[in-house]
Amino acid sequence: MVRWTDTKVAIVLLTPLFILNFGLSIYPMAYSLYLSFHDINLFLNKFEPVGGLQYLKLFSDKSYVEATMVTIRFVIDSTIMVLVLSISIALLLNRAFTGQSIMRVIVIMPWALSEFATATAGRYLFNGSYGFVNAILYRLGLIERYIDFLGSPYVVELLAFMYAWHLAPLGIFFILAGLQTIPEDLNKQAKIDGASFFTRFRVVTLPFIRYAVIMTGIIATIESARTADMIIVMTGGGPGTSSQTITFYIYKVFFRGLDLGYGAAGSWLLMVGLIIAITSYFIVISKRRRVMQY
Amino acid sequence: MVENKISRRKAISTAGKVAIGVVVAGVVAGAGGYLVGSAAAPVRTVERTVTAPGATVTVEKTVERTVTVTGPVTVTTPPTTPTIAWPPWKPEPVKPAVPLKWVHWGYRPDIITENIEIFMRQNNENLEQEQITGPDYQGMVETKFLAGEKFDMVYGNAFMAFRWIELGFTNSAEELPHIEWVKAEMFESVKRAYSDKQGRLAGLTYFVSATPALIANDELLEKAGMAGELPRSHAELYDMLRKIKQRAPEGMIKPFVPHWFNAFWGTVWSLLAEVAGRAKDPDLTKSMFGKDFAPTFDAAPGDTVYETVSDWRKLVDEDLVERAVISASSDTVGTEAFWTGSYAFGRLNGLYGYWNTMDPAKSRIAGKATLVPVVEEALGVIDTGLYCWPKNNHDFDRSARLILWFGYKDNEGKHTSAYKWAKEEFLHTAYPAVLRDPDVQRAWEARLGPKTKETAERSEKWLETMAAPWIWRSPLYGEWMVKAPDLMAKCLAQEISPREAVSEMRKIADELWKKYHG
Repeated sequence: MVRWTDTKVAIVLLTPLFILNFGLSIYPMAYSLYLSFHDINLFLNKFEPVGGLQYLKLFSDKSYVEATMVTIRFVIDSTIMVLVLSISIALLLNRAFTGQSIMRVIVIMPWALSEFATATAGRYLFNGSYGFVNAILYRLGLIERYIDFLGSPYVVELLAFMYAWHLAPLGIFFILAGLQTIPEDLNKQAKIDGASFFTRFRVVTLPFIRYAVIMTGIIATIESARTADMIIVMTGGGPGTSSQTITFYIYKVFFRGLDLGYGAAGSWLLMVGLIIAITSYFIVISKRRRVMQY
Repeated sequence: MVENKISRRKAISTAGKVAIGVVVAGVVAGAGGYLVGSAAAPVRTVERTVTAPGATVTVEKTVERTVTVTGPVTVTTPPTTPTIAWPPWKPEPVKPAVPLKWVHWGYRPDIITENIEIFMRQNNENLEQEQITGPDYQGMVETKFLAGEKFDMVYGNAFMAFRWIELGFTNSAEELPHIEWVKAEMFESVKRAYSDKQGRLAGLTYFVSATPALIANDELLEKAGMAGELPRSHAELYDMLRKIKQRAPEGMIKPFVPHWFNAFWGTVWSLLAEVAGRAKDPDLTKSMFGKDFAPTFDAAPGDTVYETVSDWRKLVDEDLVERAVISASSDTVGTEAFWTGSYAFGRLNGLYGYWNTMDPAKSRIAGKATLVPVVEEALGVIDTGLYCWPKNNHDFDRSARLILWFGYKDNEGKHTSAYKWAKEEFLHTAYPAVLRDPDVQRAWEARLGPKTKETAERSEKWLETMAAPWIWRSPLYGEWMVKAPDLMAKCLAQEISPREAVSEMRKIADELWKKYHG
């Protein structure tokens, strides 16, 4: 008779997950790291180890550097927009009003849509010839002729806006959960003490939702840095290469150019960048915690 | 199994030789007979059937003059092409347990599925399909090849087909039984376009078209006082766009929707098509990449590539084009814009782009659009889907039958697949007989109305004159086509000059040439 200790049960339960994770994440990642140190060419039948040459090449690749700048701009824009939208809508939804439940369902809907569908909607919304936004502005008399939004210098911000619209519902629900843990008395006391809305938000609300906000920020950073669908569908990286992010560039190099070693190196460099960004978030959190403890 | 395969192929080859022998003998005899024959003799038909192991060949000859000759069969001039007894295969006696597999990019899956059902029914076969959608189709298929996956038929673009043969992933179509009969029925231009460096046919036709189709909006041209005027060259088109802008017809947003989206079949194919037309260089060996694949273009005045890119930029600078196209990753944005009816000319994906423009459910200018004819310059580059034949297939004979059935004729000797695509989607085929078939013409008439005849003639001319870039046969192209669109997109977005764009494209081409051919 087998004695089922907690450890054994845990091993049995975790094994399928581990196998799945190994097959779908760990092995492909390790293999892509291995590829990144090789020069691979199917036509020339070449699979040569080249050390860190592919990484060095990335630093001198103008397109990769440009794509990095676009990615940074897109990530900052979308993270800020996700946070602003999440916090403000969560604060609104936290108030009691008629139809609150229906509103909560409506609010989560953009997150239920795929990124592809969101991008397609964005393309129609901002289209320069027959877009919905143009039609509204034109009918309201706010513009004299249609604007080519997706060809404008602010195309990255538009993409970030659509991305934030898609991702914000997740943040809204994280933050809403945090808001519901705030004791009602604290707010009442602050109001009696004459604290303004912003003071109450900073002193009473923020400490309770801080971790939810940080988690939303981390998720928004990672997700926006690795998105490609939004860019491919809405702008194709254009106009020119103004909205070409690293992920989209790597996708083109890897899947269309089939330069496997170089593409793998590019994605690992992106991953290193992301690890640095996320680590900084955690450093900020832990510093803040230490300050609070002292 | 291997022995069986060889013997069957050998038998077919023997049958072919016998058939050729009969024809040669017939022609010699016919020629002799002509010299001695009587001009007043009645017409007769002589038929002879030659049977060889595995195949039956029937030779039919029309005898126009009575002749007295000695020989195996009596024929006279003009000799006609012998016809084989089709199909050169038999249905499976028992439905195979292991299914064949077809990998495709999935356009109109309903037609695909319907064809699969007919194929299975006629051959007692078992066929599965796998659909790969999206712009990374080529990469996904090559991953399958590399992983050693078995499949029996795969869609490929011409440049993909050449690459796959070179990499040893696919067989050329030359290894198919009776390929000479298939080739005899094809447009010469398509045959040339499908032939690899060694002159081998890379695959059989799913469809063949020319892109980007140049379409005129009749209504806007009329409003601009240019009713019925159509450009005969790219230069004339651009002059017309300027005039149209000046005349500013009511309801016009911009005179032109170009085909300049950020994808290899956008800016790159537009460039290939236009340079080939302007330089009268259908394989682009004089104006872009030589026979040895070395780049020949340059950022210098007088160079067709440079002049073309410069002209495009001028169109942007003069605000003659719909700029939304430049911020698009596919043809959808431009196509939908053109269908609003607010543009005088549009360049749409493939000749089928015209078919869809004439669909009232999609387009506001249905019935009021014209396919611009090829007059002084060729206007398109080949846009095609090939049935390619993977080497790592489930069974040589079964997969060969699959390719022949879809890419040529079914068990009843009909071009079932090609007919269906031609009738329902205006997808052209390599076989002119299909395009000229009254049934197909009637199907087109239902949508194109009075424009049917002119469109049919014009589209054949497009196919006869379209560019078929020689560079597609080099691995250089695969990498160049990924980098070039970015440079052209930057130039069209007014970020860099045409000189910078073309110089950089040349630099990349030089590096790639050294890498692959230097």
